[in-house]
Amino acid sequence: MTRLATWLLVAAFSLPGTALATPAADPPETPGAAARRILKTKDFAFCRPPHTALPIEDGHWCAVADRSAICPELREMCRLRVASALPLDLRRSGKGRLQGDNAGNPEDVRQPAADWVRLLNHALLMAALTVLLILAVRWYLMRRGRLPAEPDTEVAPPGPTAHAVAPEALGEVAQLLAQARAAADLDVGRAYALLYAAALRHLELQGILHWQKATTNREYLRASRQTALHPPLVDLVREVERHRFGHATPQRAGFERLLQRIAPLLAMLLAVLTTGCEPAGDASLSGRAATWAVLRSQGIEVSSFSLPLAQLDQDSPPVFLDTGDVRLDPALMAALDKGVRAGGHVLLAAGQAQDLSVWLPAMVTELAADATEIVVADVRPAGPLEPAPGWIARTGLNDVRGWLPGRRVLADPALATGDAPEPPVDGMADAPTATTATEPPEVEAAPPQAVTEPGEVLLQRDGHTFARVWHLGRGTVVLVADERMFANGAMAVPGGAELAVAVVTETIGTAKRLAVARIGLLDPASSPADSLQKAGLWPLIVHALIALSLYLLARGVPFGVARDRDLRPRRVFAEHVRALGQHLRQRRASRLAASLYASWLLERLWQRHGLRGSARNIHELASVVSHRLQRPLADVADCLQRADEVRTLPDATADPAEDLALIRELGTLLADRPQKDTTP
Amino acid sequence: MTLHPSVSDGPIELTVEQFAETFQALEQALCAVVVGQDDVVDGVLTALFARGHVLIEGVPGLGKTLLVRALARTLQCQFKRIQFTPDLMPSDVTGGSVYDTRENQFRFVHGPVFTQILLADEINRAPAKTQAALLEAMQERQVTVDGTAVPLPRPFIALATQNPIESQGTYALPEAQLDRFLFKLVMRHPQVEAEREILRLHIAGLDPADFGRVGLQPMIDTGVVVAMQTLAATVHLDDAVLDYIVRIVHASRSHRAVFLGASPRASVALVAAARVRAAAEGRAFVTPDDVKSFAPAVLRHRLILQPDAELEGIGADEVIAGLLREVPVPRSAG
Repeated sequence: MTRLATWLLVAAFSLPGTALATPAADPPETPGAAARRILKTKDFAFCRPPHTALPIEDGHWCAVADRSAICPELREMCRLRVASALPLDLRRSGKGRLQGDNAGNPEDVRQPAADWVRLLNHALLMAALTVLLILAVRWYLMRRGRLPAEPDTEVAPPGPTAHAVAPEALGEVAQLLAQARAAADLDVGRAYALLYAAALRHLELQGILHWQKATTNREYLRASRQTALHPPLVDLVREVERHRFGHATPQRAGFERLLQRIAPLLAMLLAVLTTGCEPAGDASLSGRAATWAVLRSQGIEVSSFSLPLAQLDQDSPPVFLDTGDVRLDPALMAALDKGVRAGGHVLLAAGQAQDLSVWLPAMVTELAADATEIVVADVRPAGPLEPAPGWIARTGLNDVRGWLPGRRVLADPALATGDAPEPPVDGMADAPTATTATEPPEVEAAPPQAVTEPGEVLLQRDGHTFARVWHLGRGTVVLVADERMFANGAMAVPGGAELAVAVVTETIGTAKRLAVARIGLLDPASSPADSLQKAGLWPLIVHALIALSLYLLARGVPFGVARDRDLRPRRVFAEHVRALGQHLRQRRASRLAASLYASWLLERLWQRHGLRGSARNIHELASVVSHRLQRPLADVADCLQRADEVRTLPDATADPAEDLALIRELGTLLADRPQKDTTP
Repeated sequence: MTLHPSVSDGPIELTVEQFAETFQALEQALCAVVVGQDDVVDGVLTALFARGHVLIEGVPGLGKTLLVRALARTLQCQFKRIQFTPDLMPSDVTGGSVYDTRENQFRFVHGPVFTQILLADEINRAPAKTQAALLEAMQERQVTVDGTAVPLPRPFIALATQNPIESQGTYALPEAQLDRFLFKLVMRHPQVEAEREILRLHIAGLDPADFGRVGLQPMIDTGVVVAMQTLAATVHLDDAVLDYIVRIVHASRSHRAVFLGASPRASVALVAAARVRAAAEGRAFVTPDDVKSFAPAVLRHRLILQPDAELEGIGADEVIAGLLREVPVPRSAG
C-alpha cells in the first residue's frame, strides 16, 4: 500500500515536471469558435482596435474584409490602407504576383529596391566580413605561441541565456529526471547521480558550464554560483559525494526533498525553452499563428519539423510543407517523392506555382481522363502564367468567398477507405455561411480506381479543385491550390477555420499531430562544402582566402611553425650547455659560457629557419628573426653580431654583466612569435 | 619552557566536525594577522596537520617570520628561527657535544632544531652539508649526534624559506632534497586592500613579540595538534580518489615538458594533504576536489623541467595546470 501510494505521489509530481512540447488540449470548441476566440487576442492586431492602416503587402485581404464577421476591424483597416514603408521581403511575399489579380483591387505595389543599391549593400557587407576575417587571422598569428596559460581563477559565469535549443537536447534533461525518479525505488545512490547529471546537463544547455572530464564538482558549483540552481545543487553535490566517496548510505527522503527543489527549476526552464521550439507563427494577416492555434484547439499537436525530406517515413509525423516563395527544384521534388513513398504524409501548401511533373505525369498516366481536368480546368492560374502540364497555379482569392462550412469531401469515400462517408464534423453547421453562395460544394465522383493510385478530390467548387490527395507508395500527399487558406486572414473568413481543420485532418488521419516545415530548412547540407554551396558562401570564402594570401605574402611570413630539426641531439647539447654554464658561472667564466651559448643558439636559429649555404650569415638570420618576432632589424642584427663575435673570440676580456645580458638577450630570440614587452 | 618530546596529557579524541571548527578558527585568526596570504596560511596549517614541512618562496618583507610566530602563538608551541648563512655549520643547526669542565664530560647542547616550529630562513644560503643536516632532521624527526639519536619534539614542523630573486652566493637545494618538503608555497605581494589592512594593523600596534595587542591569543595546545594530526590520518580515501592521485603523479612523469616527474613520495604527500583538507571541511572522506586543490603545492618543487621548456619560459605551475586539465576526475557512479 505504501509503495502504491508512493508511486501515485511520484506520478502526480512527475506529470507537471516533465515538460516537453506542449501537449495538445482536448478540443472543447468548434474551429469557428476557436478562431473567433484566438483572433480576438492581443496578438492579432488586424482584429482589434485601434485601427491601423493595412500594409500594402496585405492589401489583397481587403477582398474578403467585408466577409469577415470575426474581424470587422479589417474593413476599417482596408479603408485606411496606405502605402507601407516596409519592403516586401519582410513579409511572406508573393504578393507582387497579385498584379492583375482578379480580386479586383489593383494595388500600388512597392517596387523592389534598385539593383545598384542591393549590389552596393552586398559589396559593403563582403568587404566588412573580409576585413574582419583578416584581422582575426592576423591577431591569431601574432598571439599564438606557447602552452596556454589558463590560471585557475574564478570567472564570473555568464548569465542564463534562453537561446534556441534542439528539442533532442532538452529531452535529455527530462529523460535524466525521469530516470532519476524511476531509480529512486531501487537505487537511491544512482537516483542521486542521475539527478546530478540532469542538473549539470541543464546548466550545460544554458551555457553556464562545460562538461569536461577534468572538472571537479566544486568547479561546477563555482560556475553555477549565479544561478537559482546553485543552493540545491550544493546540497546535491554533498549527497552525491557522501555516497560516492564516503560510502554513506543515501537516504530516499533526502533524495525526494532535493528532487522537489531541483525538478521544478529544470522543468520551468524546459518550458521556457521549448516555447521557442514550437512554431509560434506570424500574427499578421498572411501569417499562420491563428491557424496553428485553431488546430491546437482541435486537439492537433503542432510542432516544428526539420529533417531531410528524403528521410520521411511512416514513423514521421505528418508534415505541413510551407513552400513560401521557394520553388521546388527537381532535387527537392525527388527527395519529397522519396519521403512520401516511404510512408510520409505531406500537406503541400504552395505559395507560388510549382512544377509537380515528378508526380503528375505518373498520375496523368494513371488517371487518364482526369489529367486534363486537373491540369487545365481544375485550377485557374492567378496571373499571366500559362497553365501547363504539371503546374498548379495559385487561384484568385475571391474564390475563398463562398466556401461553405461543410463537409469534408472525398471524390469517392469508398475509394479511399471503403468506409461509409463520414458525417459532417460537429459544429461546422453552426458556422455562418457566406451570402453569395447558396450551394454546397459539389462532390465530384471520381472513376473507380485502385486505392493507392488515383488522386482524390478533397476540395472543389464550381468544378474547380482546390485540394487533392494522392496516395503515393506508402505515403500521402495533399496538394492545396492556395496556401492562403491556412493564413490568419482565412481564419477570419466564415468557414475558413473549418476548411483548414478539415484539410489538415485529411492529411494527418488519426495521428493528431502536425509538423510544420518551411522549405528552406528541409534540406540540410550533407557536408561542409554542401553547406557552403547552399548558402552561396563560396565567393566570400574564396575572396577571403585570396585577401589573406595577399596579406601574408606582403608580410613575408612563412606558413607553419618553425621547428627544430634533430631534436634529440639538440636537447642533449642544450643540457650539456646548461650544466656547463652553471659550472662556469660559479667560476665567473662568463665569457666562455657566453661563447658556448652563442654558438649553440646561432646554430639552432640557422637550422630552425632553414638557412643554408650562402644564406647562412648573420645578416640573413637577423632579417628573418626580426620579421618573425616583429622586432627592429637593427636591434636584432646588433645582438646577433655580438653573439658572433663572442663565438669567434672567446678569449677576449670578459665583463660578466655584459656576458649575462647577452645570454639573456639571445634567449629572447628563441621565441617563435613576437613577445609582449613586459619590462616596467 | 620545557620541551615535550611526547604529549603529556594523554591522547585526545576529536570528531571531524571539531577538527573543521578548530581548523577554521585557526585559519581565521592567522589570516587576521597575516593579511593577504590566505593561501599560504591554509597551506601551512594543512602541512602542520599532515605532519609535513613547508618550503616558502618569497621576497623579503612579506610576513614569513610573522606567520610562523603567529602560528606558534596560536598553538602554544615553541618557536625557533635559524638564519642560514654561507658559514653556518651543521652543528649550529642540530647542536653538538660540548665539554663541560665542571662535570668533566661532554654534554649535548641542543641546537635550534630542537623546537616545535622551526623557521629556517633562506635555507639556500647555507652550504649543502648544513642543508643536509636540517633535512635529515626533518625526515627522521631526530638528530644523531655522536652515534646517539635524539628525537625531536612533537609536533615538529619546519618552514624553510628561500628568496627567488637572489642567485649570488646561494646554494640551490638539490632536487632530491626538495622532495622532503610536503609543499612549496609561493608568497606574493599582497593586493592593495590587503596592504592597507597591514598598515592598519601596524598602526594599531602589531608587534610580533606581543600579539596580545592585536588580539591573537593561544587557541589550542600541542595535545590538540597531535590529536588533529591523528584524526586527519584516518580520513577515508576511496579507491577512485586513490587512483586519481596515482594518475596525476604518473602523468607528471610523461608530460613532454618534464624531464623528471614526481616520485611516489608526491603521491603520499597528496594523500596526506587531501585528508587534512577533507577534515577541515568537516568530511570524513576525501573528494577529488581535495586532491586537485593541493596538487600544485605538492608537485611544483618536485618536477624537473626539460631545458627547452625552461628556456622557453614554461614554469612548473603551467605544466601542472595542463596535466590537471587532462587527468579525468572520478565521477559519481553511473
